[in-house]
Amino acid sequence: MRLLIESLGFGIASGAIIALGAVGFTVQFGISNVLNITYGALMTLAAYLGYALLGAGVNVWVAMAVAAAAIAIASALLNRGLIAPLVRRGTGFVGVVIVTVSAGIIIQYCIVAIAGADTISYGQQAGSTVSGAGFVFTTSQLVIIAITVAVMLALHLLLTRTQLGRAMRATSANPVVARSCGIRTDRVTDLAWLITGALCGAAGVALAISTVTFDFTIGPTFLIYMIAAAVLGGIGQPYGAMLGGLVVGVVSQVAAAYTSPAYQDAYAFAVLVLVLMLRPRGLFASGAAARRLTRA
Amino acid sequence: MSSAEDARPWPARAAPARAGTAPGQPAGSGQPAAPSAPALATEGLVAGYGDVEVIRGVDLQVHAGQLVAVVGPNGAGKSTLLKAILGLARVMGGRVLADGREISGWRLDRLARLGIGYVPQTDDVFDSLRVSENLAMGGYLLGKAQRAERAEQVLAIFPPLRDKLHRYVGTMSGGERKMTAIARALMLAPRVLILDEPTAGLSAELTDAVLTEQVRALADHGHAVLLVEQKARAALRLADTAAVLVQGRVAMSAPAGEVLASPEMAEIFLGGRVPEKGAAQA
Repeated sequence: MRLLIESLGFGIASGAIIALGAVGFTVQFGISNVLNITYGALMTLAAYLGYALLGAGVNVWVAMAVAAAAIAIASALLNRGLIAPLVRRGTGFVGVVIVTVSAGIIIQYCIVAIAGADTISYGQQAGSTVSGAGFVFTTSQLVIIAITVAVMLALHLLLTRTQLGRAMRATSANPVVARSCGIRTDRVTDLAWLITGALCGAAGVALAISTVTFDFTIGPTFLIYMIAAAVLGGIGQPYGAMLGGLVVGVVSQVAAAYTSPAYQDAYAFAVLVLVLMLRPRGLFASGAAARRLTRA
Repeated sequence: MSSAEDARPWPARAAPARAGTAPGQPAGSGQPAAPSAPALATEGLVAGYGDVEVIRGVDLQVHAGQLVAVVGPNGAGKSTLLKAILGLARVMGGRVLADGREISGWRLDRLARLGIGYVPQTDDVFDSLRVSENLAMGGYLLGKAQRAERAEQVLAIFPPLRDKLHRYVGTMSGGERKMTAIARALMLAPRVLILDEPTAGLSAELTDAVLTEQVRALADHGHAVLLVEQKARAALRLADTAAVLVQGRVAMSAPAGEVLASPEMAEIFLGGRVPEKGAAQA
């Protein structure tokens, strides 16, 4: 029982990072209909920015905020400068995906050119351990969980209580009708890439904090978990991605505790396959985004 | 819905005579009309997708308080005509005008600011939003207080929606969704409303209700309404004027009653014949 509770704790901590990244990834897809594989490379960039800031003596949480802001701008520029023009010129869904893969590889190797290919580490950022009710967390894990919860709450309020958030959901659900309402969907999309870029940056630094050592592959490797969480929750559905992230994190950690860490990914993806067999559009199935993905 | 007649928020514009108004002519009661620019017009419009011309030189005018129906057989280019007007299909020649101002190729959000509303044939609502949120998005360009006031006015037109404000539109019936779509489009009190087959997928009973209680009423209250409709007879019974589109050209253009009574109608619909240019003009 103790093992179960402890592994649940690890799963929640891991799921929080996955959810942080997956929500950004899925919102980006839902609003712009772009499966942005560059997202992983931008997470790596955030992790390296955080590393550079730590080296300059900046506090790790300040470094996370700065990296989130920097990746937010990079993400908006990526959309405005590369993705949106391609979509305007009629490049198909798969074509855009290939371009994002290419852009991601370019970013990765730019990082290698500047920072090298060696593994690096944030050092001891875990902090002291806190235990209660059988759960054991490090303070950094608790802060990451708190940040994730705060971000999810803020995102929920943005999407449901503000005209901008409703406009984002409207653009995601039906861009043509959104434009007919007078919504500048291009600006809404820019803002969405800015916000989701910040989530990507925060997730990149959070991942680096929770990893002993990492290299330039950290983001793309983690991207598969975020895609799994997004698909599990229902692609384009932010609440689905939150839940999906938690499920992927918990299942992989609990499975690792009871079997071997070597199999944890297999268990997480087995759950994904099982859920999709029962609910092909994911847990939070909703029409628009799933239909667009199916059409693509 | 007639009980809500007095509460309807449409501008108090003079409604046109129902018959005898030739397409392209300002509505009126038989008197020569003032030479005002139509609320919406196309002049020699050529449009399509890529290099393919679907619309080939269409002239059309819609005045305030007028319901103009565009009918025609499948594949005639009716929806493409609307899409060209709305900047969703490529305009290759000719012009689109609103109150005499050229708006060819304008984006939909810019057209909305100009007072041109649009209800697509399908995918006409925000499925994953509640009815109240659909209305809020319809009034996106309004301030908060104005939006709330306008929503009250629109709900007076569509009382059944009042009890469903918190329902997600994706869970509603076809008729309720269509009602929501039109209500959403009315939030900005558009001067021109463009409706692409508003009865698509609706039962015969609902078709009558949508066309008479909603579409016709819009024109009666001063909106310029351009209606594309596959159910030609139902549309022609209610429209002021009509244009019959065949193979991207206006094959017949006349007061709706005349088009309905024309023996050429059946031939056009069954055989896709295109009359000589101007032969069937009113």
